[in-house]
Amino acid sequence: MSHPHEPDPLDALRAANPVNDDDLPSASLARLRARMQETVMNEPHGARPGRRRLGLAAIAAGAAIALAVVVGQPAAEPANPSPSPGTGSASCVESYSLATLANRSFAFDGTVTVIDGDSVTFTVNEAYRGVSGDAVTLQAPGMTGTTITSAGGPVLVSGERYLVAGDATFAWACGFTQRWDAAVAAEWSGALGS
Amino acid sequence: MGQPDNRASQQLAAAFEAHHRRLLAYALRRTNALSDAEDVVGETFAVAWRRVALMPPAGQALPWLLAIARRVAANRRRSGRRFLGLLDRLQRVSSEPAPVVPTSPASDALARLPSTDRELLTLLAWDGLTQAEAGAVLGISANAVAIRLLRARKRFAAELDAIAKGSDDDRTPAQAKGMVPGRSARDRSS
Repeated sequence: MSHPHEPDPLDALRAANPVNDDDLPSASLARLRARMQETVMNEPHGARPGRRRLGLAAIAAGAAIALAVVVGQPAAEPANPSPSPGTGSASCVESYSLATLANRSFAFDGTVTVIDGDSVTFTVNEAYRGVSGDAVTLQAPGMTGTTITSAGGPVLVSGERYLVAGDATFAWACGFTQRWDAAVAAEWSGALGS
Repeated sequence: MGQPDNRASQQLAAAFEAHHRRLLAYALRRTNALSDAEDVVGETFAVAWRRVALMPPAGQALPWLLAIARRVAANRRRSGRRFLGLLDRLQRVSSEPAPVVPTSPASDALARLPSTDRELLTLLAWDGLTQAEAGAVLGISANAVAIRLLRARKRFAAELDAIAKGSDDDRTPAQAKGMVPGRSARDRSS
């Protein structure tokens, strides 16, 4: 009886916890968010995998789980249409057109300055909609070369100029982000009323 | 159909916001790589989305989600063993190193326990669940949890003692005879 006070052995186990919830990698958490959005968009709840029914569910889910934009806050927060890494999905939620472009919460003419994983920072050359400030950082899964997808987005290159549209913190692929072109830029400006 | 879909997606989103960190921590403790842990959590929410009608309110959804994650992780471990066997044969290594799990007497003692004991104890000590919540994850009653916990706690304490005594043997004969752990021979002589 050398130990008059017996500690709870579970206290020792608690102290040996190898993973602290507060120390999880932020990039990992961001990837989970993107994946979550994709799940909600591509797979209707209560249905068998493989059937597709997109709509308000996707938009509402995206609204609730949107990531924070570092600079320049887009207004609405729907979902990211481009596949997140590793899933192999290649669908576009909406086909690109000037009409569907008008559904995006932000659109701008920007030049890539920093690419960090799926996170891309643009300097804003001209804001058409939903962007304030001189720079904006967005998630662009499938467009940074970190994963191979067939989502129809360009591989963004630092220093290159693009027309970028999307929702929440996500740049959409499928034509909603494309290399800058004067004629297309004029169309965007006209369609978005800037 | 827009309104029900909207509610369902908001419900799932609320559960995600409330619990994705704890789910990732849970998965990371049970897998060998961060990418595997992300896959477990991603698949967990995919399953949750398919069964969202059965999901408890977000604030109470953690045990339900952990139960899914537990099954997903188990399935991945089974397929992972096959895959790693193939990798071994090909003499390839993963590009993402396994997380370094710091060793301690407690973690060593835990490793010596049966898997059922380990699972229950870590749900309580690491995942912060109540006994009732742990029972929900494991699919057993609260009464069964209490009985299993009593035994697991005893076994864990016994292993801790055994390790402490083994460590003492490694240090000095005096400590091995039951002296206060951690005191050096010079301390005791003073």
